[in-house]
Amino acid sequence: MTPSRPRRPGELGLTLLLIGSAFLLGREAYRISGFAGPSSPGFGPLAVVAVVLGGLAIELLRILRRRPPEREPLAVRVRRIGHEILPLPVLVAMALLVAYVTALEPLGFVSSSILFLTAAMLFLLRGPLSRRLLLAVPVATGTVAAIRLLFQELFQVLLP
Amino acid sequence: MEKALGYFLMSWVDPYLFFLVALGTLAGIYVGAIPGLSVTMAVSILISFTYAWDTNEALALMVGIYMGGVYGGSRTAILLNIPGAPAAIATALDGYPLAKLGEAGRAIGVTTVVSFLGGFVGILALAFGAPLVAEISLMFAPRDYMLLGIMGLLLVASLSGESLLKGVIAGALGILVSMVGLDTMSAQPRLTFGSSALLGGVSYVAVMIGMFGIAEALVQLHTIGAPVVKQRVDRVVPALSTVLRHLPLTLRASAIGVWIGALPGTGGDIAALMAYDHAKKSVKNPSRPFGQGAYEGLVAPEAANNAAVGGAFIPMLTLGIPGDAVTAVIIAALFIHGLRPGPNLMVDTPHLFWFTVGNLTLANFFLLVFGLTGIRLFAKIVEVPKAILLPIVVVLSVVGAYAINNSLTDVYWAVGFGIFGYVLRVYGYQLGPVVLGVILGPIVESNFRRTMIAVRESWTGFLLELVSHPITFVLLIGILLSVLRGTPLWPRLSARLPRPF
Repeated sequence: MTPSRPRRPGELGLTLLLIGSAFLLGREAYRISGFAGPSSPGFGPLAVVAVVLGGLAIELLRILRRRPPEREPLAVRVRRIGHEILPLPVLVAMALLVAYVTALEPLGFVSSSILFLTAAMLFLLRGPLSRRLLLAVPVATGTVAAIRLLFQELFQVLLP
Repeated sequence: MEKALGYFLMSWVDPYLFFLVALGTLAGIYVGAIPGLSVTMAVSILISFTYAWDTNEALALMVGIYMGGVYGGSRTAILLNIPGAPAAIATALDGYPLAKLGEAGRAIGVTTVVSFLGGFVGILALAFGAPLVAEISLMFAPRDYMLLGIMGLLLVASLSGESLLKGVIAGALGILVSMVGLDTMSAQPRLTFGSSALLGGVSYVAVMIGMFGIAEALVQLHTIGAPVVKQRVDRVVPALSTVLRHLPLTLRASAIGVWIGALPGTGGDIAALMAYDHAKKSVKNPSRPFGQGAYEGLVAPEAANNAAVGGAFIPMLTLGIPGDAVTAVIIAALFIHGLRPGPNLMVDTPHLFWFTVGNLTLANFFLLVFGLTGIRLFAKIVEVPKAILLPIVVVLSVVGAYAINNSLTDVYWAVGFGIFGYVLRVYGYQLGPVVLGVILGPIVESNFRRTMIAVRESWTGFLLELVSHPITFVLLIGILLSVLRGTPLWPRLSARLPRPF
């Protein structure tokens, strides 16, 4: 037996969340046709939910057997979560992504995409702000222009 | 025979058709390589503006796109760990580690040559084995398709990285996603939580774009500060000795590709995964450990998925049944052009069969030419800083998701699955099983239900069905062996088995 690694931050929470969601899906699956015959439309969803729940139950037991994370000051814990699970670039990118798709309808594809690309590149690039601006704005504008040309004009794809 | 040769050479001698096949292959390679754009999508879009075209012209372009697109998906799998198509999922497992080692050029070179060889095996099978394979495929019953789907799911579970259990959970989650919406057999809403927006289900393309486009971009942000690996693309054309060393595996993987591709409902994606699994189990001394940049891990799936192209045309042209999503779209295109794919197609329009075989052969040669000459330019993409590349990948994913149905709902799904996929990845769940669950789930479920209806919902009858038919029994044994090989019991059992050699 290899010595068990300590629990990762959020590991238990994610598993419990997945179990909770699986129960909700199980209830919804039961509503389709109850425990009717195996060819009924509800049988498949119920069976798959059972597999998910069974798997998650084993995973939960495995997690509970692991050493719980050592007690540490809140600031250290937040820094560790940030480092291992949700680093700042990911957090900001997720926020920008949500803002981008929210803005697609009111602002349209061209404006929202240029804004998203510029903001994301400005944040992710390294170096002085003026240099980042000089790179991000033309690249963002050029990319959106190229996408518009390629997809809308050539592939005849409607853009959001 | 003379007539057949004439039909075969039509695109070779007609400059316009020749140009269309070349254009289709080139477009297919690049469309297949763009994350978020799939070859299915490209062919679907093409259909809309080939309505007024001559059937031969439309077919020439579409066949080129199909051949190029299946191959093109491997490029982003190698360079960015983002498979351009489901058929390239297995390619990323060893292709991306090779790119990280700075061997992207060589990897793409090997991929191109084995794709060409695999494609050629597929075309040969189509030309000479079509009637035979079609006959065998006709013998498949729903229970066999169900077992085939389960076999595909098991292969994914064995590719689940650190934890088989997490692979099973991820695959099951994918199946649940595929069940959302109206039931195809009873038209009853399932897992919709009373929302009419969910009645149409979740597009698997949106799930794929979210999981492999957006989630991958978010995961890559963990290493945003890491220096970019300069790709060694000086040696693109692989040495003959390299090709010859991998030739036996290429041929074995191509045979798997032809067989799986020819089975209706299964395409290059399952073929590539099965071939990868075969390579993993049969190659004793890979160039590097599998998953860490083994060339054998590239050769097997790439030969198989291109061989599956020729295979997929067999049920399409002879039975009118799609071999995969792209052939389903091509069947729709044939209907639009007034043709009826199926057993009568070869009787009514025999030229179409040999014309398609000729187009595929020509497209395969173009694949080799374009594949080996465009790598340097393409590999430059990976040298672009991630700070620029990743936001562009996200925008392309959004465009790709929107293009599915011209609906923002698919964009929201893609983003939702992107963020969910990121969380799963961070906690050690692999995303391949989720996507394969979405694709294979409906095949397994619908065929299971058909089998149960056939045996009047009797479990005893169901079990008897599994063991009393030779093809079904062989598939069942294959599944059991596959499960057994993944358990600690296998080394003990195999040690007791007598060795034939």
